[in-house]
Amino acid sequence: MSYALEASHLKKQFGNFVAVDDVSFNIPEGAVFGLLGRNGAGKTTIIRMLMNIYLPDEGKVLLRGTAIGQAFRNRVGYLPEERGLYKKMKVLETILFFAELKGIKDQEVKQRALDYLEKFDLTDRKEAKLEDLSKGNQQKVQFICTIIHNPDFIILDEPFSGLDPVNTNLLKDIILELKSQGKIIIFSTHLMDFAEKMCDHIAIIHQGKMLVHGSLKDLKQEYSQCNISLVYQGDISFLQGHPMIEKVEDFGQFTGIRVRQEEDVQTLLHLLVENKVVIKRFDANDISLHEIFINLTANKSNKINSGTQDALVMEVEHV
Amino acid sequence: MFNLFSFRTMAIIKRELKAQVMTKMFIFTTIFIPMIMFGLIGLQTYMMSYEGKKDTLVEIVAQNEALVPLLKKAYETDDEINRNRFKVNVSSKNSDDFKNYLQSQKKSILSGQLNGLFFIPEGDKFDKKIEYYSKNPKNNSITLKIRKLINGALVEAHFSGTPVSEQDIQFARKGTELANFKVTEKDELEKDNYGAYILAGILAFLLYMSLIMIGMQMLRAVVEEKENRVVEVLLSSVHATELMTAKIIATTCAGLLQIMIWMLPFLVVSLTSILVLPEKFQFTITLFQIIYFVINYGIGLITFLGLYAAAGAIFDNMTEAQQGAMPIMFLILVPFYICFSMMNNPTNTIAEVSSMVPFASIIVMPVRMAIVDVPLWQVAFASLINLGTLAFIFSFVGKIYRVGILKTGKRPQWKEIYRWARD
Repeated sequence: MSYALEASHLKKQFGNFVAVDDVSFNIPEGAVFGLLGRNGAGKTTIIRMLMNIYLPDEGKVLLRGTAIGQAFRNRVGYLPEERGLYKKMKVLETILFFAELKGIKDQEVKQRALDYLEKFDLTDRKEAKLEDLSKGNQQKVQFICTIIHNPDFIILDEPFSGLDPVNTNLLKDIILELKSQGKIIIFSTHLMDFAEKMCDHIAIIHQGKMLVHGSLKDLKQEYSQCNISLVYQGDISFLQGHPMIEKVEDFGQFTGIRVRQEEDVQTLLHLLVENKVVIKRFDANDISLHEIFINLTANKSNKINSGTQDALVMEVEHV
Repeated sequence: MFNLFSFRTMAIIKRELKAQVMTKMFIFTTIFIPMIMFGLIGLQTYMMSYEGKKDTLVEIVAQNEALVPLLKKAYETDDEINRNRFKVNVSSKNSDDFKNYLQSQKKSILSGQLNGLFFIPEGDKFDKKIEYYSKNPKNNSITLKIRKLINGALVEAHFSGTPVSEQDIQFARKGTELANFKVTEKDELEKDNYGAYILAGILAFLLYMSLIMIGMQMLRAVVEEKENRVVEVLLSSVHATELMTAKIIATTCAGLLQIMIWMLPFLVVSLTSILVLPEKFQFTITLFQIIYFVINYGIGLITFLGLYAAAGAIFDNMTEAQQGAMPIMFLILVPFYICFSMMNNPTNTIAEVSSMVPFASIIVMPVRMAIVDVPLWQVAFASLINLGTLAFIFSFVGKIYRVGILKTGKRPQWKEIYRWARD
């Protein structure tokens, strides 16, 4: 399988704190790749190493077999987690400036900028200064700046944070549209619902280390054995402490149940019917990304001592 | 490796130039600072020549009655006293009467009706001791003129009845006049005046103002980029060193534009006869001096901007950055004060040495050149020192900027910054 981007054995240390430790993953052509992890897991540091903003202490990043450099930077669109634009600049002027930074400066890009502004309902604000825009609108402008030069790679660090539901949907549609154009999209997020809906490949990072990575389909298959997603009406408290039940967890929209053996799935269904529980949905051998994430990271978190958390105050060096 | 003349750096230079030059602040400071400066010089000149209100009233009381007609004559014939503005009453009283008179006039003196009361006691024949009573006895605009007037009358009284001619008396009355000539390498001698000092003062002020203003602008721009996180987006397209270099180039261009606009009046005075200054204030500035000034300023500006960029990258907010940039401020402030020490003694050793010392040279040398003839080797040496300083500064500020610009959280220790610069 050919990979668009390969990260192998990445390591980054700030003082005594190891932010990223021996992380490797591959991103196939045309993939929507999710880099998942809790706050402070090391996602942004990995992204900065992908972008060549930080130089890794160890390991390398290859773009279609060759080391990343300026050529990659010219073809990438990056939306950092901490948004930032020049507040005194006007909207259209800002978008054109970021296009020019990528070497694109023509009438076509201006038209493209105007099209995006229209799509995001910002046409009437094109001459407004960014400081006069709402936070949500500033974020939309920042997203346009990320994709205005028609990049092959789009790296989005927590793209939906701060957006209202309407704009979240709008952004999601545009991301899917970009995916259909064959762009490689790399997400960094801790919102599992979005990741599950949008990503086809994921990597879960925890405390700077890689826990799992691969195609979402394969991962779900691997982790779904003995798992049931249940949507119901009634009382299921009788399941607590039942010998065939390993775990019952409420995820809000649904309840995740893990039985001890695969054969117990059918027994569970009978048990629910017998106890007059109204079943709205019963997905056997199904697991949400949320569940996988919680299971993986919660297990690891038990081993965290509070001292390590304090070390998350970053010190940057050897950039 | 980064490319200084890539489309990326050009885009940043263009944006920075626009952000810095096309602002009300830049236009205001570029146009109004010279106006304010020339206005201040004009105001100072006016204040120095302001002789008081139109109805300045002065009384001269002489113990010796014979002095009264001589004082009246001196008042009427003195060319320097503007008789429309100065009213001088002359009378004679003995010392006891004068004491009573002074008491009676106290109210008038305090109310400002009577600006000053001079008393010429009889004293010794060769004694020229005069008493002066006023609400404001330090007002030189009155004392200088009246002392001269009284001196003339005393000289005339002293020689009256002696076989001394009127011509000799005129000679004795007159003070000495000093004509200063500046000895230079040139064949002809130049008559010296205040012009060179005014020029030196203006140059020192312009350099100081500009380096501080443009430097702070750079500091603010870097801190803002770091504070509002735009730097991370920029670094996804450009290398940190490219970004810093482009910013310095743009800011230097803005600074040079400003200083060239400020230097225009000097160029006009030096090369044309459109503006003719009063003889007292005329100065000579050669094209070489102007060119040296602009190039030297450019080198100095790049040096200081490098330091300001590094300082901006180290800190997270403007307050901390300003505190951190204090040592850079001192590198500008101290030479500025040295320039003023030259006003009293242009050839003092501190000025001579500091005109060839890193950082200080940038401000002191052009100012020194305006007052004294600096040997060419010293100018060349200072230029080499400045270029060397520039190279030295850029050997580490790029590294500090590169690491610091993405650093957030606790304020770094100096030890840590030293490590960034060294690695």
